[in-house]
Amino acid sequence: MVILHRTSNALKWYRLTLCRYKYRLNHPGVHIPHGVQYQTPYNLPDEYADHPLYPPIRPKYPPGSWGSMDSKKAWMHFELGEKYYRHLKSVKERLTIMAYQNMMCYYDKLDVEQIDSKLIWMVNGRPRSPRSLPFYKHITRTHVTDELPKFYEQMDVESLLNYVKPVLIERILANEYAQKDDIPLEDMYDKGDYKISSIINEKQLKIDQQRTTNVLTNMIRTIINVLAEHKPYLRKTLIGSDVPIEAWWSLNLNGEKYDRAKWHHDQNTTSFQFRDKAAVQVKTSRPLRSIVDPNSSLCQTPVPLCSYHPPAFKVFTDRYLPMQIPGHWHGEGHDFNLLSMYSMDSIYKYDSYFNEDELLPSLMSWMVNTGHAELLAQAYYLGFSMWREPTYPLIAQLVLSNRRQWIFGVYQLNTIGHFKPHDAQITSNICWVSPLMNLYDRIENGELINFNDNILRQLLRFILNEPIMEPNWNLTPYVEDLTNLDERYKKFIRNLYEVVKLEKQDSRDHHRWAKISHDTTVFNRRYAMMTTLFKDIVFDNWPREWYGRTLEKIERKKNMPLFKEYDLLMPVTR
Amino acid sequence: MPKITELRGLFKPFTKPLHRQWKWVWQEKGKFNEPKLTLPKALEDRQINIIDPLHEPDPNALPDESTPWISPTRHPMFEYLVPPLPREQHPLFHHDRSVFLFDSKTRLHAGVDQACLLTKTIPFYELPQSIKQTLGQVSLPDQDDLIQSYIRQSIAYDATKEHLPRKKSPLKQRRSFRIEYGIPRSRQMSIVLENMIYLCESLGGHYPDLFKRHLYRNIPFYTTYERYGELIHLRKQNEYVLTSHIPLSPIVKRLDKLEITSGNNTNEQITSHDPNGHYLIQANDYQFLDMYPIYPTIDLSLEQLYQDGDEQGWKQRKSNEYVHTIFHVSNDELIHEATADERLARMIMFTFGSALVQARQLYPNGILTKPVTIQSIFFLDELFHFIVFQLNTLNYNDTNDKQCNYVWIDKDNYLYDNRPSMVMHNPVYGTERNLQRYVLEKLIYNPSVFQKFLALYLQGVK
Repeated sequence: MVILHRTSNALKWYRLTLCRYKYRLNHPGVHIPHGVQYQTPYNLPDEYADHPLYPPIRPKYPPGSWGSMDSKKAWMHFELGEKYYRHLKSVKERLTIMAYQNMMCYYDKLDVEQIDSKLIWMVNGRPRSPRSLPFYKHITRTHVTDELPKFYEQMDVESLLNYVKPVLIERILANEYAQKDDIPLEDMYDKGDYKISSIINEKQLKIDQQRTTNVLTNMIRTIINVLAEHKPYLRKTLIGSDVPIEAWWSLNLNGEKYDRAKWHHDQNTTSFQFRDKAAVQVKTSRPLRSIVDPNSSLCQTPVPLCSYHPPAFKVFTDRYLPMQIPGHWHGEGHDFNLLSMYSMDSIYKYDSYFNEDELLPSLMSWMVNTGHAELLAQAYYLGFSMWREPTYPLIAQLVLSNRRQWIFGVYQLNTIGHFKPHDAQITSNICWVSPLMNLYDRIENGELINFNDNILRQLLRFILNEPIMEPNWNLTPYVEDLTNLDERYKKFIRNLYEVVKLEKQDSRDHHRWAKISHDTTVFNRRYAMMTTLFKDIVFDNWPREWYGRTLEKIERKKNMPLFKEYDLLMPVTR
Repeated sequence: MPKITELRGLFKPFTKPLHRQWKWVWQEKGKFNEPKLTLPKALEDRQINIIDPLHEPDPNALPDESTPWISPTRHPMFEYLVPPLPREQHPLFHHDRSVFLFDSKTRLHAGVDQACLLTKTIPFYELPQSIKQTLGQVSLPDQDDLIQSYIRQSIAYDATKEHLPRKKSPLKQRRSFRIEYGIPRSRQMSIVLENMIYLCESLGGHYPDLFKRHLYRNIPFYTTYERYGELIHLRKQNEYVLTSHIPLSPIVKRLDKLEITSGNNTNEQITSHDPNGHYLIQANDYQFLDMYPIYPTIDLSLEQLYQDGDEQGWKQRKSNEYVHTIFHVSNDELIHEATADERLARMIMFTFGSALVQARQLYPNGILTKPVTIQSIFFLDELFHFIVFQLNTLNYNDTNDKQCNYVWIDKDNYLYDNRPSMVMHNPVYGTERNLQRYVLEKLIYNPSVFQKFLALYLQGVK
């Protein structure tokens, strides 16, 4: 039956017109089981009223600003968000469902053969093509300012600087100059083998990044320990090295036509996934003070549209589970960024070093990327999402460094509903970036030449920027209190989260080889396992779109009435 | 008479088309017309440097005589086919002198006793009195909560996803287990250890000396010493080494009436002491292990490829640095891969080696006027061993020299209880997710371990 292959138009035509009624498209009973259509009994209740009771007329657009979006689409999005927040009590559930919704098959794979996840544009921190700043500004809705906020200059750090500086210089030298590398005896002399420069460069980059991570960690930890006596919150911060940062968001196409990576809920949106690793990350349990009011004119600055498609900037698609990871898994408690540092050793490697002129814009787009992604994931952990904008601005302090060169940035996240069209979004996110500075020029005879205090000053100001210890607003307004939930439900939530937590992410190379055992991906299988194990909770609380294939089947079997029941349900009354 | 090619042209309609024969025809008759550079006449007169695009120097052309030709068999893809260079050709190969090698994999079958025999050391199975007295005296606010949060961070909340090594089931060799992704154990350990070290350092507000310490990672260490005519070479990559700008003061000052008189300073007598000659009496009672007829070096392999001299792992700078604590982070897959005794023996050997190097640098003439003290900490998953080593002599050749080194051992400290094995298949807890849940729910934390850790860390501060 080559003509009637599942992808052919002939099949559609056949199914629409010619085939047995049972197999026709749009015929209820093939795709969505509807149970039995019962005959209406004749003894109808008396439902007549004196005045007709009409349901209230729905306004054209749901609450909120929707711009030029089609009103049906707007209602669809609105209801999606409502559903998401009504049925899912915890953030962990929401994160899992977000990953699940990107899988290609919702239902049983009756006529859907393609069961892997959808295509997503994969982004990481380092921009891969020149002049890509407008693009990254557009996809993150960010306005970039080329100097740091003024209030940092008011912080007086001179006395602290005098104390910390010699300590830090000693420690940098210990790492950079004094420490010897352990070279295995076999590698101590040239064996005459053929050396490939790209492999050697790659290794060198790995080593450099490791060094950068070590030096930055050491510096940050030292500063924090110096301050720990006076600032007790610093001792309680969560510090991680080489922590993964991942974030997913969907972006409105604003009338562009994309042939791929469209988000399946709305063909006018596409989605992005950010993946990178922060060299050092410091997190606290309290938010940083906002820098500008989200209603101020700076935040109303429109971000120009960038009409080029992502491949123009060497951004390509892959299959991946949409994940939100601001450095650690949900539930840790330290949910707010204090400082994130990224190693920028790779900016001079590969093809990403375009020019001296392009260096600063590249670093700016790096900053925009990382700041947005990290705060976006953080917002999801706090219970906000594309459907519920953050109720207060989230702040990240960022540093890019390759030990010698440093660049500072501050990011304020005001909005994350990028799926709305451009004219619906009035506020934009703001990123402040400092110029690129040298911490020192070189190391000679165990001394740092031309040590630059300004960098240290700025770093100290970042760390001394104290979070609001007792915020007078609810930090997580959309997260329900789970303490009264019964034990089984709590267990369910935790188990469900482990499905995304400990699984290998879906990616293209994963699919090519390891794909589809037992007719699905690993993720789908585990999801089905968990929903089945806790099917009582799922049946009671979730809408059926999220049941997953196994639960679909179980549910359908349960609803199919037996013949006996059938007779009882439809008594012969006449 | 027309040539064959011309004939072919004539009979064209009657011949077979050249489809498949084309390869043959091209081989036999094919000609490649090399395009020639023709200059337009207008350009001929001018003195222009002409670049011929069709006859560029070929980048793939074979190199001339001056560049050495590298055999294509040395491509990294085929490197496994190349026989390894004989060890004798290594520039560090010592043809005339072989040593007994002790590296991080060597096991001493008689354990601590054998290590003590090799290093002329007397063991005491407790922490020194001077350190015991300081236990729990200094503490950090919420230190136990913080350590528990580090444990949780390392095992459950760190978002690293890496391919973990496959599980095994020793009784069912053919059984295979699912691939698991999670936090590798080395990362788990480094998260806990680094957090603990830096948490101790946050006392720097009270003890500014702590900021003069340095932490080195993955540095080389080797040294050689002669024991009754046999050369013993110690070699290891030290995972973490903490150095300080003042050497640790010795635990036991008055070793004999004859020797070492530096402990007269009253301050030092207060900080560390040997009440009533306690350790001296114990040391006199100690009998070294009698291994006869076996040599104590039986477990060490003979090695000719080694580096001469001493290596501490860092370059000397203006101010001196002394080893304070060595952290041995084990990479054993299983906690039972080696016994506690073997691990302690290894620690004693390497700590002794470090002390030896330091003593040689301090007293180049070979006369030790003040004992050298070094601490070391072993760490595997949740298991800690603590060791304090005091080097009292540099003489290992002379049988008449009765001076011995001392080591204080505090072993088997578990930071938390009953961590299930994640390497072997464990029917109850055998997956990463179970480990995470286990840690989140039923962590039984042991606060005394960090107290010891902190006490050792704070040795030598004023």
